[in-house]
Amino acid sequence: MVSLNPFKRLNWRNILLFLSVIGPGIITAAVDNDAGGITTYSLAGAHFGYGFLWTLIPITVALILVQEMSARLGAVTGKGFSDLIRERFGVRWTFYILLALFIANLGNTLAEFSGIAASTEIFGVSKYITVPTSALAVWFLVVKGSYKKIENIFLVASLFYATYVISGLMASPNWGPILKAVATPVISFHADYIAMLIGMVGTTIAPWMQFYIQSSVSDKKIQFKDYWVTRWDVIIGCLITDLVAFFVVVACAETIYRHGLNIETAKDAALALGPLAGKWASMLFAFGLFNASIFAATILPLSTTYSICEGMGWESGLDYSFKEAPAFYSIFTGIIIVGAGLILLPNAPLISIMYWSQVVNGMLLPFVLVIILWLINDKRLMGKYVNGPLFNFLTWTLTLVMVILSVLLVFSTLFPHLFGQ
Amino acid sequence: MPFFLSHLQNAAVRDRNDKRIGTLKDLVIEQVAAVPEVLGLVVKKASDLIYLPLKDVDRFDRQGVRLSLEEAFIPPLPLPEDKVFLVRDLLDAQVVDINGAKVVRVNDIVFSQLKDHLFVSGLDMGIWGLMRRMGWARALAWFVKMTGVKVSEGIIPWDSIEPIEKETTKVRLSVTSDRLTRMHPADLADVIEDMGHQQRHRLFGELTNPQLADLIEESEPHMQSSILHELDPERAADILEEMEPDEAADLLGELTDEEAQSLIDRMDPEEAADVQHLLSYEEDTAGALMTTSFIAIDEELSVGDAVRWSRKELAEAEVISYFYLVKADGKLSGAVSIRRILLADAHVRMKAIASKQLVFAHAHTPAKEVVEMVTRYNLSALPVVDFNNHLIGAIAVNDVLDYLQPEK
Repeated sequence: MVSLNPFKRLNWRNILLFLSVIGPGIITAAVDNDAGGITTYSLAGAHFGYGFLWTLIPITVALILVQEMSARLGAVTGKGFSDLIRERFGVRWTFYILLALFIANLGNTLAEFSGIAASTEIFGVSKYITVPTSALAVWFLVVKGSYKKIENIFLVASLFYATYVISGLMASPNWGPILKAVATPVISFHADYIAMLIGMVGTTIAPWMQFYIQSSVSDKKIQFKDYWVTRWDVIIGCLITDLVAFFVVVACAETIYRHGLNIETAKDAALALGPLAGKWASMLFAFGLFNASIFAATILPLSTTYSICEGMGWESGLDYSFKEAPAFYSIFTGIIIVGAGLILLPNAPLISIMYWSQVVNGMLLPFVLVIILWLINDKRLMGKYVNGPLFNFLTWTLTLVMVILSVLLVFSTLFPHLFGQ
Repeated sequence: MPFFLSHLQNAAVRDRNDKRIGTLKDLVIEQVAAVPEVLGLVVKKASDLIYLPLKDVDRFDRQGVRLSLEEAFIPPLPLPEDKVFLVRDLLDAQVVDINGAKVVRVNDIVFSQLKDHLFVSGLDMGIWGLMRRMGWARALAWFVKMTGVKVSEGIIPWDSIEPIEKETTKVRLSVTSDRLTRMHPADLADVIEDMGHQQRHRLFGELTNPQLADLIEESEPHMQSSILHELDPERAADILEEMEPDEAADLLGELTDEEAQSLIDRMDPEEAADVQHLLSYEEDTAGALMTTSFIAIDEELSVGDAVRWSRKELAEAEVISYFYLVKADGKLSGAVSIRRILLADAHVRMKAIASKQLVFAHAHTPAKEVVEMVTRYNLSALPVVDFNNHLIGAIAVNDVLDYLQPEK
């Protein structure tokens, strides 16, 4: 195992190395707090107060475990997740898994564009202006820019998540009860609580993340001796993600929950913060939502497209022209057009699209987790970098829990009255 | 009429009395062959996998495989693990399309039958192959018929592909990557981007040092340093010696000081000195762009002497479009194009045929200005001097091309 202690190696070489290797972990984790994530955390805080703070610790641990394995697969093999699925399980499995990923991510992209619409409407700009503009901006940034540049822009964009920390602090939280809530696991078997728990886990650990981090780690052509840096990239990213989630929950708990208000969306949350925590807290919250949505609206279509093309063996990459890689550009452009276009259609069945993509997300995750565990324990593939016994125990347990939660998620989405709502 | 692996996979295998024995799981071919012949079948019989040599097969058709034996006479043969199994090792694997210079995935495998022999004639990378695998070939045929959309065949003949072994099985698919090593370095540079670590590592082992040096020069910057990391330091140093000094310096500039120094220490002292000198210039200046591999001649020499004197350097120099003239103290005094040298009489002095206007850059001249000079005066190379006007290097126009292309 590679040592996790960074301090004995804190020197110039390692700082430079860190700067050249970071990105995949932090970016994946930042995109994780997308429109759907922020909405879920807002609702958790607004409806349950501090009730969900303790779950952030096990969720963070779970997230780190899963993301680290995916990053390790990428670093050791130099290949993407869909490449490995294709080589190990053949074309049929690959096709259906990628189809599920496509549907799930199309729904997620739609949610990002609706996040863009909601956040900019708080600032009084019509979605008929901001959604098409954002879609075009995203398209041009990716197609006409370079990945290196995009990555740097996103590392900077990750800093804007601090807006949530600030709006959380502006809600003047009571640290005593908060710390106590973080350290005290409370499980309620109330239907609403279970539904929210599933939502929290489902939004934080999503299948696209494993595809994305493995591809971007393998693209960096990281040498295994430098892998410990990637591991820190992953860990720091996950910690930041859940720190942001923490402050979103706190902001909503301190204000909306305390005053007994009812909200349904992240936009409601941002608006409700205004009178309770001040106009600036509300603005920062809305800006954070915009940043998160546009960030994810860029990464999700791109990552989906790469995964599909890699697995199906189609030319992929921004170095190719449309003629050389027609599938790549068509899929990428298609996801953005459909994602942004549906938001603007007056009678589009948005709710049911997001609902079905949630179902597909939930069905896909168990497969992804089992395949990861399968591949990462393959000695021929991973050599000495297979999981150790303790790691395997933790990750199989986690997978089991995730499978149960995913099944519950799928059922509760299909049968909304399952938990008696 | 060619037929495909997807037709045979999971087909019923019957004995000579039409009794069903099992299903076809895989086909076995010889490791390396110009046209690989199918040696035998892997059949799933009850829960066991058995191996049947091709000589026991009576015929193949769409309905399945018929053997020329009775079930009771099937010999108990072990699976030939050292051979290539088409489904296990080649189907869904990546291969390099040598002519297209790209890495593609195998959707299906094409056979041709010649008397009693069965050969792999090509690999299908196209939509048809994909649809056949998915069991949707008929639907696609119907779609094509109804809409008139052209769906091209994606079959690549066996002799223009080079298989890359699957990351998950790692059966060695060829003895040497002969076809790969003969590719143009620029094409090969594209191809290795898509390979896994193991596969690249193997390929590097098969390339000679000059080949690897060419490959590195043609690769993207992030790939260059990663290739260098993958080599053991001794070999990395040998390769740096093979490279043009300016390219080697650029590459070392991408590494940390510590790593670069350890490689320089392993290099031949003379080459190392050139590279180290180039490394001391700031990025995006003429000094960093220039090479030390050019021709400098005493201005007093005659054309004939100059050519004779520089013949050996001419063979290796990177910048050969000009001979640069220097005074006895090493100061730059002129430039003579190769064309003028070829047209001049052998006894004329070099000084006499030098261009009237001498364009040159200082070591600290920014790259942008270098590009401007090269394009304005339409030069194919530019000499570089230090603050004493001593000639220290030359910039070839192809080394500034990067600054000319609009940013991607």
